[in-house]
Amino acid sequence: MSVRDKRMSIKDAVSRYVQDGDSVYYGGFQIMVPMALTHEIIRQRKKNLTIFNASTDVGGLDLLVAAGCVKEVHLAWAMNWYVKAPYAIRRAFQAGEIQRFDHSNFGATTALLAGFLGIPFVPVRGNIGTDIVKHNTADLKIIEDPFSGEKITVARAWRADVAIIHAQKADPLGNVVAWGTRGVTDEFGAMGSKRGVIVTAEEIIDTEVVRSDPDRTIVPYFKTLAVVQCPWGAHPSACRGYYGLDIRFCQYQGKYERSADLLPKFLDEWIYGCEDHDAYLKKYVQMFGREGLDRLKPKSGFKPKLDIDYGYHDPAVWQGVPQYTDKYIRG
Amino acid sequence: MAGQSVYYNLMELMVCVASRQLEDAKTAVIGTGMPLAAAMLAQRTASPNLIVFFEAGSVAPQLERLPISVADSCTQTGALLHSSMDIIMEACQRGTVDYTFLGGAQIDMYGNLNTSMIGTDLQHPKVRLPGSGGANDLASLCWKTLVITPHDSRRFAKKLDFLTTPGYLTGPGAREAAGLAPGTGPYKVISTLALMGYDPETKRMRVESLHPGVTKEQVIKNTGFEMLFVDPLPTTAEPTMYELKMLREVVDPQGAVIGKGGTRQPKEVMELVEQALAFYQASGKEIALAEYATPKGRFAQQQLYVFALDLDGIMLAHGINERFAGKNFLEVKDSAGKPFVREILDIAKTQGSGWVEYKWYHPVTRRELQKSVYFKKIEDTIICSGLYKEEEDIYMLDLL
Repeated sequence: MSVRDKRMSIKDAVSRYVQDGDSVYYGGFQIMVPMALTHEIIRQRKKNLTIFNASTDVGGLDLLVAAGCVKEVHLAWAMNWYVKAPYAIRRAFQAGEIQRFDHSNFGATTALLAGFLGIPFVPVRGNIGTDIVKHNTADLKIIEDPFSGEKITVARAWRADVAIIHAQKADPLGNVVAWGTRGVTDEFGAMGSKRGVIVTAEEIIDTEVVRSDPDRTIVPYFKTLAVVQCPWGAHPSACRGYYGLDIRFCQYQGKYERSADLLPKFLDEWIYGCEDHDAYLKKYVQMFGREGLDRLKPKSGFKPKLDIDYGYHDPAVWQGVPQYTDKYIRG
Repeated sequence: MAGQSVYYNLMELMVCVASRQLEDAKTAVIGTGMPLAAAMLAQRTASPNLIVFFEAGSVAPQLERLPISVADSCTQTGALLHSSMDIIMEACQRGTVDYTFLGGAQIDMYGNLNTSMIGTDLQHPKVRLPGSGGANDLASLCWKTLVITPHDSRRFAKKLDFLTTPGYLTGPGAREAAGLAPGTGPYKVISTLALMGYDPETKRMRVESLHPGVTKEQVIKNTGFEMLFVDPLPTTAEPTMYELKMLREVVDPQGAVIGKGGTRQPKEVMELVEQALAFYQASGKEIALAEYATPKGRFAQQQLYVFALDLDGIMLAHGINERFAGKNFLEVKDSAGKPFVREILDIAKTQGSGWVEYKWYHPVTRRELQKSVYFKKIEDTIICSGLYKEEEDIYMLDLL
């Protein structure tokens, strides 16, 4: 919980805070996917990770699995939506290389909520009556509601060793700021993690700025392990206000994911062959032009019209103010 | 659909049928693709106050264009609330949400769905599918679950390989006994062949109307379980001009869901036939037929090509398969048993030109796809050109 400057390179963040065999909360949904961190974990050839995630549609988990970093996934859905199949995960699963524990999206967010609340499980009215709960007894059980006696599913709390997330802004201390629709409530997975959070952010801002609009803080600094300034850190997924989904790149990457022979070439060219995320972006611009990235930027602004003022109140105004009294209430 | 002045494709029909199921001022959690097009169409026709929720967190946005994914940035436009998946699901759990749309690799007669695997053993499946995603939760928690799906006997399965998402489970009372809220459950299925609901007594799937040109036998043949039918059995109402106009011009002008077949391509096909006809008039029959049969000739345009039939159904020239020339196609039937060449001849002889739709196996994917052919008669020759629906259209149906 130390107050210190936690800014560091993505390389240092991953090598210091992600250990082989860790369980990892993998943030994002189909937006805010921590892709730069995904690439760095692959680059550092981390092993035997257990992944907690609801759903990811840009193939980030496919890459992680294909690179041999993962031994176990707990999730609701996995696919590169833009090629319509979970190719690498499917191959690894069918070859017996990874274990897969199926959840539903709400089941998964409920498991994260339980971790966030710091309690062992939370009831959720889903998964009941299906084969999901029959097969994944590690994460789900059906119990009797102690009040009504009716049956209800409970989701075991997911508390990962470490969380990896992407956000719009963070300050050097590790206060994380995000806005817009975010897919999954990343703070559940982040705050519920045992050791803390690695965050990549589009921009680093002063703590004073965070304190000026604290409604948007999703993770306070004391839960943060490392802050990495990383523009385009969720690419090819979207980051609200900065860039939209790179559909063409998802399709391009997906065509590699399809083929067990081609996918290592993607890993070589786009991940192992790039020193860091900047190098990845340089390669992108080389191959697909600056306009490839420009196309992803918002066409126009979408700024709040709501005039927000939290107001400052000085307790000193009560100094010397006598107690209110009347004929019943005496001072 | 043959010979009608208003041309529409199967995707357009299904979107229109789906949109009509959504009542005004209700709430719906919607994915992408056809269901979203249906919701946006409903908002522009009978249900302007339909409230759309996206699983990624947007509540009641003012959608200007069809988003590509539930997390697409444009799903946020003009929204009343930005949240995330659990907030949306919690709303469903409280009973706030009326409708949801799902799809699946398999559906059984009680509307249960499988999106997890094909095979018999989960640890060693034939094909591992993406999993539940939000499907299980939405079908567990929303009041009415709608499904949009292609209709074939593998998909409409007697027994699911894996029950991912609950329908009526094993029949009347089973949802309640399992612990799901009374009054929730499957509502409608919009397939490529028919509109289905569920028999209130048995909770079994029941055809409520057949799409135009579809027979009861076809549905029976393409369903792996015993399908029920209402009696009398009506035909699904075709899209109105207004629905088509809204769908093509406002909801999906890019053709992302309704396919390029719905807007641009038929025009291109018609133009190609007109060009071929003009060439015939200018150069004479013999030269024209030779040109039609030239694989890289002037009438071979990307996926489009022309072929010519005589009035007895003999293939005079074929743009991509020279072996067809000289063969008699009169009795050729499509994969649903429809003698479509005979239909082409009948319409050409009586009306001069028209469209005929039929089902054909795509040469590459081996999937049954809808094909449309436009034709025009000149002298004793019928010049034809057809198009398959885009591959993506079928994918859109596959996975929501």
